[in-house]
Amino acid sequence: MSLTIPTLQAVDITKSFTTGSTPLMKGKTVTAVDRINLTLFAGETVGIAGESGCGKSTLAKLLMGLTPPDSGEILFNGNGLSTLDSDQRTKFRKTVQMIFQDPFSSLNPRMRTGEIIREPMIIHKLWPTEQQREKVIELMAMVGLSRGQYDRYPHEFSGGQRQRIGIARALAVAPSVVIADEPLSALDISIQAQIINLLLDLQGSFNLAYLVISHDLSVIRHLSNRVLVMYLGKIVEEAPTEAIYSGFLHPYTEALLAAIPGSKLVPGATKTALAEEQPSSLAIPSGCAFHPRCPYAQELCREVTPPLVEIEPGHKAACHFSAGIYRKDSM
Amino acid sequence: MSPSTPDLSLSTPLLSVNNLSVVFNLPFGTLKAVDSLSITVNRGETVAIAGESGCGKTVTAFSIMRLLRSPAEITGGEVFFNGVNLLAISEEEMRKLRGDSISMVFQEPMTSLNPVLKIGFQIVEGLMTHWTKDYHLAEKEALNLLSQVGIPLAKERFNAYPHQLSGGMKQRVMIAMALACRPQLLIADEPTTALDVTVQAGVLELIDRLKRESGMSLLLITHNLGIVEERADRIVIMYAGRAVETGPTTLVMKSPLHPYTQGLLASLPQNSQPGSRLPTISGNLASGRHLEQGCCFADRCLLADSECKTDHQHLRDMGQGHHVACWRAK
Repeated sequence: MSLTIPTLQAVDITKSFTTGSTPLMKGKTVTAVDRINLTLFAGETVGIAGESGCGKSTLAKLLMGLTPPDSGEILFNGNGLSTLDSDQRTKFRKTVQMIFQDPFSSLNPRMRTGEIIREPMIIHKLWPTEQQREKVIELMAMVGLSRGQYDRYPHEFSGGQRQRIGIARALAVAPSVVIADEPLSALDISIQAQIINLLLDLQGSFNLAYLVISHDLSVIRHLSNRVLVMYLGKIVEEAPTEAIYSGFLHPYTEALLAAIPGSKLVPGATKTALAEEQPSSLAIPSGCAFHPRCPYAQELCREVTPPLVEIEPGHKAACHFSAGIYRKDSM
Repeated sequence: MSPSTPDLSLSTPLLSVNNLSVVFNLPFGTLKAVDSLSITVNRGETVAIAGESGCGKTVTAFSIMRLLRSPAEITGGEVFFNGVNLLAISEEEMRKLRGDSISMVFQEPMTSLNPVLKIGFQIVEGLMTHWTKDYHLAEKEALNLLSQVGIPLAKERFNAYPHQLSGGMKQRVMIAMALACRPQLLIADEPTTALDVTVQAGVLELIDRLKRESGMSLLLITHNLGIVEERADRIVIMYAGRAVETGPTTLVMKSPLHPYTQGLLASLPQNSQPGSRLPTISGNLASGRHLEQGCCFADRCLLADSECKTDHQHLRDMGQGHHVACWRAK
């Protein structure tokens, strides 16, 4: 593993925003992403789990290079994004593509399907113009759309079919990394299964690396090799997928798993409804940000922020008491 | 029995929907949204209507509440609530029931509250319509309700506007409004779909607790089979406007009989080996216009033969209260 360079890597990245700054009011600062490290190798899938407001979409934007981090660096094949010249940057944009959450608002309603999928090819000058149409039709077949649908408009398609158009568009420039921000949450159960299969098939055919962002832990488990759990801008747990589901080491992960309704997913997670709601990211609690909601919190948690430390090989957690709570046998 | 003499005997179901049919009159033709649907909800019971978007679950709820507007039209059936056919009474009589004996929690707390009124007033409004003319009494009760649904600092929040509250808090306000007049039946249409999972667990627990305390019945509409499994006594699976399978939740979830229910449960990621291809239901949801004859699921069904395309399927009793609309089910 140490010999290969990750396709995409985030080193200690932080991003904050200032809100409501007017002449009369001083703005407040929201730290949306707080010193996050992440690696993504070719062909693997990393899942990011967390609730709304935890910073997962900001993280996606940072990794896409759509917004620069305040500090830290994003490395693409080992090169810092900020050091790329404009040619290399164009190449980076071609390599990292995105699938969006809402298949209704992420397609231009006034463009025909085929043109939507062809547009990235035009921008990146990928094929001679006369070949592009054939390439688009190939892509459409790959995602399960027919040649006859080339000239249709997005409103003529169902949600699942639109998500297929979005996927074809992302693949049009032969990327090596696809960032999927809640790719399934707008879809019905039977359509979700079809799109999951499509994502798995395409990964197999093109050796794609996926970064799947989702609040749905059963989807994350199905697709990912590794999982990161985010809470208020920080990673609180990181592990190979099965390790998280068989032996979670952070109380927030436990709460997330226990909250899945009707879940037989994780027998060990105790059903304790969290006492409070997630605090606003404008007022992140002191110490461990999870302490006001944590059933195991102690005095130390109110004062000292726990670092993300490796507890088992490849399994990291940011909790003072991980070992005490979850690994009683080894104590 | 005339519609104005309610039947209050405890043995009759609280709500009984008989052969309800609803159509949408659209420029290009008539679309069947709900087709001969029958549902009963007994006192104190939780019944879930589950299905994918477009299957007619919300239209059913709106029909019971008589909230449908043109181009939707109820073309047949009856909705008996305490023995009174809600579809036959006047709008004035219906207004007396709505929010009083039957209440509804809507899907999106963000758009269901009035943005220009304080949340406290929105609860008081319902109380003053149905319960008391005394503002101070209504205010006291509203405060009481806010703390009952787990809103901290109820006194201060009473004067808050909806935009000042989080999604979970807004849904709690909606629940407080719906429960203000102690309804006998609460219809919850996807009450937690817009909420985060940990918040969802809290809201569902709240509805369950209030239901136990007051003995009301709950008609829960959801696409989430996990929620159904956890909360409902009985389940109605809908497909293309029809009920395809009904029965006690544990029975339906453990041994589904209809090919659609089986396909739906099999396609959940948690029922497969991680990383494997999921079993899928082929094809797309049939549009309501093509339902003139035959089984509504026939186009997508692996077991279907020529008879399925021509013979209408009715719910058949399979024992233990389990009904299925498929003649091949055993």
